[in-house]
Amino acid sequence: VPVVMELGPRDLASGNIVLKRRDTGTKEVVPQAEIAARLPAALEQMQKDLYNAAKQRLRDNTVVANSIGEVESILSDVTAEKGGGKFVMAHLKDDPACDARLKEFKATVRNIPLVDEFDGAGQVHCHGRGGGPAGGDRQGVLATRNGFTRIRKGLAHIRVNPCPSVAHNTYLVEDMPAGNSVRHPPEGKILTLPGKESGVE
Amino acid sequence: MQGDMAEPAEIVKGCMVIKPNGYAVWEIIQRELDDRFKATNHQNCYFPLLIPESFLHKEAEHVEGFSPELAVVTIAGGKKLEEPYVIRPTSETIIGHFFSKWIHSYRDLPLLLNQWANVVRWELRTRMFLRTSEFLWQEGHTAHASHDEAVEEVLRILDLYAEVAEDVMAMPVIKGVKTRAEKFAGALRSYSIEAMMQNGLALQAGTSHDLGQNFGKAFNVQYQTKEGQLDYVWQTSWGVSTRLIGGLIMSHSDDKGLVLPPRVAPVKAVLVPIYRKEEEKARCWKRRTASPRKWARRWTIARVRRPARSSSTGSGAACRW
Repeated sequence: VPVVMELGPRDLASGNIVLKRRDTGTKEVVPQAEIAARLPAALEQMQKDLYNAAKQRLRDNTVVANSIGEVESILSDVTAEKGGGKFVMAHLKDDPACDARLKEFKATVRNIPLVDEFDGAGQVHCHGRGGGPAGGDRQGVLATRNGFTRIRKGLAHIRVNPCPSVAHNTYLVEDMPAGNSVRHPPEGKILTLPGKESGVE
Repeated sequence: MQGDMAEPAEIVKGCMVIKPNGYAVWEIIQRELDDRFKATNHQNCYFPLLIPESFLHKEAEHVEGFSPELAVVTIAGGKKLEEPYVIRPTSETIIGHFFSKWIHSYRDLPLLLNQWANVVRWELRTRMFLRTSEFLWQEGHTAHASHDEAVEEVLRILDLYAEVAEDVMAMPVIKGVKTRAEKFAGALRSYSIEAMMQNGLALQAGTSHDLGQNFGKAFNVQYQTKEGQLDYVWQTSWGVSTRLIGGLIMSHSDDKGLVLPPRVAPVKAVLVPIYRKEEEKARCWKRRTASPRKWARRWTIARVRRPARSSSTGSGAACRW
C-alpha cells in the first residue's frame, strides 16, 4: 500500500492525521480537514519520485564505450561482486556475428535506441572516459578483432551480464552473492523475486 | 513472493499461480493498456488456443524460432489426432489464416485486432513473472495496405507501451530496434522497450514487430488494391505480458518488500487506527468508520479500503500495511 494514514488518540485530540509513505517511510502530519487534498498530492508525489529514482538509476548505470576494448574493460569491471549490470552504449553493426562477439563478454545486445538520449552532452557518466560529455562524432569506432569495422548508424544498447558463468543471463538474480549490493537501495533482500525458493523450476 | 502476489505452481512445471494481490495489479495494467488500444481503434477478439501444427511450418523462420518451445497435443478424446495441435506460443499463424478469409479488398484495411490470452512456451529456466512456461499477455495483430502504415502502427504501439511503463508503472524504458539476431522469428524488424532493474539487470518489457509481408505470403493474405491489383497485406504484431509485473516488483521494491507506484496499486491508501486502550480503540473506530466514506467521496484518485476489524490490532496493523 503506497500510503498509510495513521490515526491515534493524539491525532484525534489535535485534529491531525499522519500520512506515511511506503517508499521513503516519511511521515507527514496534516490536518484531517485537508486530507482530501493532501492524500492525492502525496500519492502523485510518490509516483513521480519512484519514476525519477528509477530514471536516475538508469542514467547512472548507462555508460558509453567508444571501442570494443572499452566495452571489454567495462564488462570485466562489472561483475557480480561489484554490483550488477550496466547498459553500455556503443556503435555496433547490426550483424549476428557482432551479437555473438558480445556474447563472449557475457553481454546481450538489447536494442538500438530510437532516441539517443544517453549520448547527449553531460547526460551520461562516461565511466570509461573520465566523465566528460560524450559528444557527437564517434564514428568508426567499434573496432574489432574479428573484422567488423563497419558502423551501423545509431547506438546498440548492450546489457552487461553480471553473472559470467551463465549464458541465460537476464533472470539469474539468485546467482548474485547474498547481500550483494545493488546501488539503490544499498543493501537488502530486494532481490527476492526470482529467488531460489520462490523461483519456478 | 513479495506482497503475496504469486507462487510457483510446483505441480505444473514452470507454471505459477497468480494470487489475488498479483492479479489485481495485472487488471490495472490491463485496463491502462486496453483503454489505449481502444482509443487507437483496436478491437478485442479471441482465437483458439490450439493451432494445427502444420500452420507453424508455413513461415520458415517462425517455426525455427518457436519449435524448441512448443507444447503439442497429440491425443484428444482418447484418440490419437491425425494432425497434432500446438498450444499457441503466439498467434500470428492462426490469425494469418483468418485474415486470409476476411481480407479481400483495400476497403477491409486496416484491420486492427487484439486478444487477451494465455500462451505456452516451454522454458527450461523459469522465473516467477519474468519467464514462466504459461503466461498471460495481450497480442495485437494488424493488417495494412502499405509498409509505411504498418511501421506507423508498430511505432504507435511502442510509444503506447512506453507510456504505460513510464507514466503508470514508473518504470523508465529505452525504445529501440532489436538487432537481426534478436528479432522476432518471422519479423522484418522488431522493436522493444528495455528497462533496467534495481540490480542492473535488463528486462525486455514489451515488443512490437514489423512483420512485413512474411505472414501475408505464408498465409496468402491478399487484397485488391485501389488500382485493382492483388497484393499481400503488411502486418504487425505486438505484445506485453505478466512479465511487466516482474519488472514492476524489481524496479521499486526495497528490503522491506514490495513497493508499488500508486497508479498500479490496487489499494492506494489505508487508514489504520492506533490505540493502546479499549476506550481509545472505540474512539478511533468511531472516527475511522465515519471518515473514509466521506473522504472517499471527495477524492478522485484515491480509494480507501477498510481492513477487516479483526485484523487491526494497534500499531502492528500499521506495520503490516
